[in-house]
Amino acid sequence: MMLIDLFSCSGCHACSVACKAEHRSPIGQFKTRVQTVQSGQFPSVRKHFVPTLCQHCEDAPCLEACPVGAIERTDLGIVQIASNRCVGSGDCVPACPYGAIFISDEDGEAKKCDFCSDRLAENLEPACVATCPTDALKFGLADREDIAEILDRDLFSAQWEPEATRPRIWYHKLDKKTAEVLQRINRDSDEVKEN
Amino acid sequence: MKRIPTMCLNCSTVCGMIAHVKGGRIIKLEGNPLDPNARGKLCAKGQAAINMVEDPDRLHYPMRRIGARGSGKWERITWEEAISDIAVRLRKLRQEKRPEALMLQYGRDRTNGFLDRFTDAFGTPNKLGHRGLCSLNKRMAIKAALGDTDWDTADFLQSRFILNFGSNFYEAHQGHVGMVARVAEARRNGARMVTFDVRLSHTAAQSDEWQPIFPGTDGMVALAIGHVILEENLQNTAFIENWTNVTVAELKEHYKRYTPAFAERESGVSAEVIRRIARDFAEAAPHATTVSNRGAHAHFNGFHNEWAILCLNALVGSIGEPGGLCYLSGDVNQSVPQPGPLPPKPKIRTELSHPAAYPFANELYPRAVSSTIYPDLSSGRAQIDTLISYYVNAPMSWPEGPTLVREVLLSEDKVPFHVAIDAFFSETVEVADYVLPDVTFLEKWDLDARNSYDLRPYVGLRQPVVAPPGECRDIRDILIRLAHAIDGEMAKWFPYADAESFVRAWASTIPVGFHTLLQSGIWVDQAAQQAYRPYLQPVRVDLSHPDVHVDAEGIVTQKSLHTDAYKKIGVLWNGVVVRGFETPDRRFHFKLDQLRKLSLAHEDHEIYPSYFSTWARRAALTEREFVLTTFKWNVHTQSRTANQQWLTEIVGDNPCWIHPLSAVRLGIRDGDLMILRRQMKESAPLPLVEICVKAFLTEAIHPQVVAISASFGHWQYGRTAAFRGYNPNALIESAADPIGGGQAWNDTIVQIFTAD
Repeated sequence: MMLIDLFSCSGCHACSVACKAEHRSPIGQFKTRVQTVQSGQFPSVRKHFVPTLCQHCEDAPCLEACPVGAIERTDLGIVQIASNRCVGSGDCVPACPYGAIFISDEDGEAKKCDFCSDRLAENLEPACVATCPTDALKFGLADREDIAEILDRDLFSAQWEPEATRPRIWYHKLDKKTAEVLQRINRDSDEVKEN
Repeated sequence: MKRIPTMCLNCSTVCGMIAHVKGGRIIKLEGNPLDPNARGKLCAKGQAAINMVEDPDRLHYPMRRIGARGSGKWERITWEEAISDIAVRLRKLRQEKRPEALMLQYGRDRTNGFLDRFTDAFGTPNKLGHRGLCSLNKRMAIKAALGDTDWDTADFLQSRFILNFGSNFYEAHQGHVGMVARVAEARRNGARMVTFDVRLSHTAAQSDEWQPIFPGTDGMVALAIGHVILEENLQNTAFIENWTNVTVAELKEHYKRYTPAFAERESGVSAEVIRRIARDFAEAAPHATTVSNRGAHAHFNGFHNEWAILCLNALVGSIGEPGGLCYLSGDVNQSVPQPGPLPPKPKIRTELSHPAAYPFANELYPRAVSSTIYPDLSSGRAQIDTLISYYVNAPMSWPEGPTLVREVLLSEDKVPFHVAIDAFFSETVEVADYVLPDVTFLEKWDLDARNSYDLRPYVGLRQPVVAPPGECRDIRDILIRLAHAIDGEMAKWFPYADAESFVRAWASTIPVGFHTLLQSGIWVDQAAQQAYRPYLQPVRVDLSHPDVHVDAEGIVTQKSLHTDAYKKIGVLWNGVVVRGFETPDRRFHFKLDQLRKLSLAHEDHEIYPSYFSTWARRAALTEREFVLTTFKWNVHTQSRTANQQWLTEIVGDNPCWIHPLSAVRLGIRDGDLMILRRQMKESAPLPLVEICVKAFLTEAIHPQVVAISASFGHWQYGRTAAFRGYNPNALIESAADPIGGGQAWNDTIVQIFTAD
């Protein structure tokens, strides 16, 4: 599971570029990105930075949507796409409420975050977690005690749409309104561009 | 897979990094955990530097212009031809005894002294950077008031209250990653941060409070905070009386005029907020610090603004304290001096190195006022024969860059001979006569360091992690060859085969040795004490020695071993000699008598931190007029990253921020094109300049301000960078604070019109 502390996130995109370097996603396509949601009127304006990636849902709609069964859940609870079975139907893309899957411009296959399974195998943290300058990202497999402990006593952590998909990513200080705005944006898969 | 430690230079924070290299290609760039600042983290820019190395439009070979200057017609030449042609030209200047006709202009010089070695040996004082466009007003204020250094290193980790005046260190700022990491941690531990900014930057967004402020009024707010602190007797009297050059009574008298009501009128920040912040800041002291940058100082009154902000720390006695505003040298040469012998500094001064209108900057920080260079070359007030440009892109990123600067560089009368050294085909390279292909930072050697937020000195090694493409060469290799080709007198200061052998010789005095540094990348001086209260550090000296003097003020001087000159080494404090501050009287300066002597204080009170009002300007703004400001994104630097596609795919455009209410009044909708026209001045007529930009309507900006991010508006720099976004610099006049010498970036008034 992953815990993302929005109180600490500086919106710096280091996670997203670390992911890009690690997995070489095509230009314009991201497995991990940072979305910005602005609210309020001058001078009471707020900006929320939200790292967005596959939520590794326990009830994963993408897994159900795939016509060839190419999306699977590992023993560790990681939802991943088996590249050798993916036919690029694209059915998983709209099925994901988080806008976390794309069809690669390069090879036509579906791609998304797999928590850097290759790095986990070498006992390394996912690339985004390792580089986060503000330690806003924490990763642990289900039994990692420090994360479980934080979640136990933390009143401000939430999942997106918990009842619908039971995501395995928790956000500290994700307010309801921001989650709703993002949900809307990501369903329409319309990127929030920074200027 | 090889893992090679080196140091980033995709911005000037110089974080330690580890390159993962396979088959001669960089697979990944990660942070080096040994770096005391970034502690193993790396920002988006650092990681995307792979794109810089692999940019398909890099320069690979030396070239000579064959068409008219700027026509884009070039021929490939050999290095031998290039060095020989340039040496002929330069040798003549030395033979004619006018070495000052050479100007070496650099953008990012992390050779830490090698360029100076070249220009000093040549005999020209005209080694000119972009300091005046960057941070000169801030550095001048720190140098003048504190003396030891020109940059602050706040102890954020232990701070309880961070007062930020116009710094966007969550996205940029020299020190970026190390700062944001510590502030995030401090905030998790309960520290509060208040940010004054014209715009809701990422830093403002992650502060507990964003206080929007009218441009150029930060110093007024700082003075009003000081007013409240003194009025309510919240100051640290012991620090002021013992360690500054004023009394509390003097300060009370001076700060009296800067009331919160006055500040409210000027800045828009409410008097009530100012009172509350003053009390909270004083209460948190000494675990309270300021942080500041261009929002506060890139103004015509920038020096005083910065000085007023710095003085807040002295008022509450948080200077040098844990959690307060600390300072230590970031100069690698302090820990590891460059191998000698070094050529003597040229005695001659020119209008370029010491512009007459900036006497205080010339005294404290020579060769740093930048905004005079191109106006002076244009008017003929300064003249040169040869310009060597090194990793600088003035036509793109300087005030009046695309207009005045480009015109000067296109003129063979004003710049008769121009050699550009760069890794990319920049807007400077476009207007050169010779182009020498530089390596990127991932292909070169340096020793480097910065002020450490761990408050202990360290040294890092930059080493090549891949071979450069084509015939690209390290700047040190180029200068060594050039020096040898010019004449024997110059050559004797360059007894090195190449950059590597120079850096090896330089690094030989590091306690762990060069070989270990090759493996670790970073050496931290763990034996050093953390730099808390440096002014109380004891100085070892025998007061009874005949060469040691103590004057009536307690200032201790010692005769030099080699000359008869006496050097100040400290001050007597409770019977012990301690370092004090490195100012003439070893005290922190709330008062600068030089300002009166140099006629930079027009009234008596202006020898203390003062405020020069922007009220008249603000009151005169029409509905159509706005103050134009510029800023940086977290994924870009000023002008060097637009060619890096992993960054440009995140931010690849720079429309103009404008408040929706202001836009609606002018009939402008989100995404519309609009014309920005520079306001004409009656006092100093300037050419009519206007640019057409896309509007970005946002609540996150002061309604009387517009903002355009730097980084875009290239017309060269390769296919990824060119012709994206807008270049605001044509609108911004070359104009500096008369005291600090720093460019007034954020004082341009523009008129906005619809573009149909």
